[in-house]
Amino acid sequence: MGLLDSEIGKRRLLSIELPVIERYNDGRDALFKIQVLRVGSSLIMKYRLKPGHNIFQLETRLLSSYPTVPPETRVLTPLKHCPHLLEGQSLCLWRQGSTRMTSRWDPARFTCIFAVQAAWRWLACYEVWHETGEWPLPEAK
Amino acid sequence: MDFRPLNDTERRQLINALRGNAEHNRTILLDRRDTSFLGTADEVTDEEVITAIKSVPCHY
Repeated sequence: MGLLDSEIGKRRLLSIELPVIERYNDGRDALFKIQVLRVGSSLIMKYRLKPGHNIFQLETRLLSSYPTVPPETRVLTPLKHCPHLLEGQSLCLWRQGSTRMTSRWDPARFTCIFAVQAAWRWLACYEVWHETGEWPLPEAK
Repeated sequence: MDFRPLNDTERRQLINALRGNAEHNRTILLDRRDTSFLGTADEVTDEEVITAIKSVPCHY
């Protein structure tokens, strides 16, 4: 199913994803609102998060194959190399094929806002790691 | 970016919140305006659910 070029995809976008982004943006400072851009057959959400004292710029990409394929999130603000950080400053958030509910992306239960929340938690861990050298959460199985 | 670190108390509170979330499903509350960390709660209101972090899956 294509997110932007199939009826199912468009219905998902209009009835689930865009309303939840509007709800997320409601009452939020302009600097921290999610902006949505279309790039080819993908949607890109651009936003900022501030888990501690630092503001990080991020983008989450919803590919044409979303929500079957989980969103991809990367941090645009330069980071120090750290655990759970992939090439291009992409965040390692979901374990593909995991049988554990706590570590896998479930398209039936989650929306794109879950990716934003997962990114916030990742950045909170990064803030701790930056000073202590220890990632504060254990790796999921 | 000039990284501004958390002080000891802030860092301890954040670590406790992250572990409470991972181990006991406690909710992490965020400021709606700028996503900054507010604290934790056992329950979350309907209004807070879009800004709070509870059962978000993750790899790490």
